[in-house]
Amino acid sequence: MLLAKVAGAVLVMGATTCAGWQVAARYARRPGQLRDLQTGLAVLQTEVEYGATPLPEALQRAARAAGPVAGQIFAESARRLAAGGGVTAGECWEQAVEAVADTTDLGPEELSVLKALAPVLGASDRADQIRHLQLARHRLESEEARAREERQRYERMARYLGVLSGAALVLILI
Amino acid sequence: MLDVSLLFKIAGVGIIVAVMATVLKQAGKDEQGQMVTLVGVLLVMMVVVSLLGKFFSLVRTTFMFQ
Repeated sequence: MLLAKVAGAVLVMGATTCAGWQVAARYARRPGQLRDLQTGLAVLQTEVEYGATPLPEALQRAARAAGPVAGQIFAESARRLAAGGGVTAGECWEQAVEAVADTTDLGPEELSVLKALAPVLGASDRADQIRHLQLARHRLESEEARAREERQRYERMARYLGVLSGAALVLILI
Repeated sequence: MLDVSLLFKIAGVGIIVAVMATVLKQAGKDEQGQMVTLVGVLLVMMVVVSLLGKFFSLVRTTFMFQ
């Protein structure tokens, strides 16, 4: 009887503590991913501006520069673009953003910034694309600043709350 | 007979709720902190109210109030 109670208490505490750490880890990962995304967009902009590289190749280079998580968006859209099937580059980009969104820690604001690129990507002239890529980077930069601030504020809070809510639950249930 | 563990339980809930409210307040989430405090008060209240009910019925049966 006592053993079951102790085991249950340990399990409940473990579960809520883990949940708290997960939330905290999400806050911790966001700034880095936003920075990687900016790097990828900068590479893409350079490829468009100076290299005039074909879009699939430019996207692949951006994917390599943006690292494993944020680079998925570039890699996925490059893959979709290479697969063909009568889709435009903008559609590929939008589909890739939607497909990869769940594996990243990006929020709806960042996703809308990325999706705003879809109508211009590979569809308008060079100057227009560069302007939109710059705009997207600026907006991601301000999002990154906000993500850093949120991390400072909420990372530790999430851990504490996980442990404390577990303790409260155990106390109430026992 | 009321066992002492109930008192400790209520005290523990109080302490944890107080710490939670402080943590939330520090993170700038004052409303959530107040919410947690309110939930803690309600939880303890539910326990205490049922005990009070038992107590009053005990008094009534003891003194035979009709």
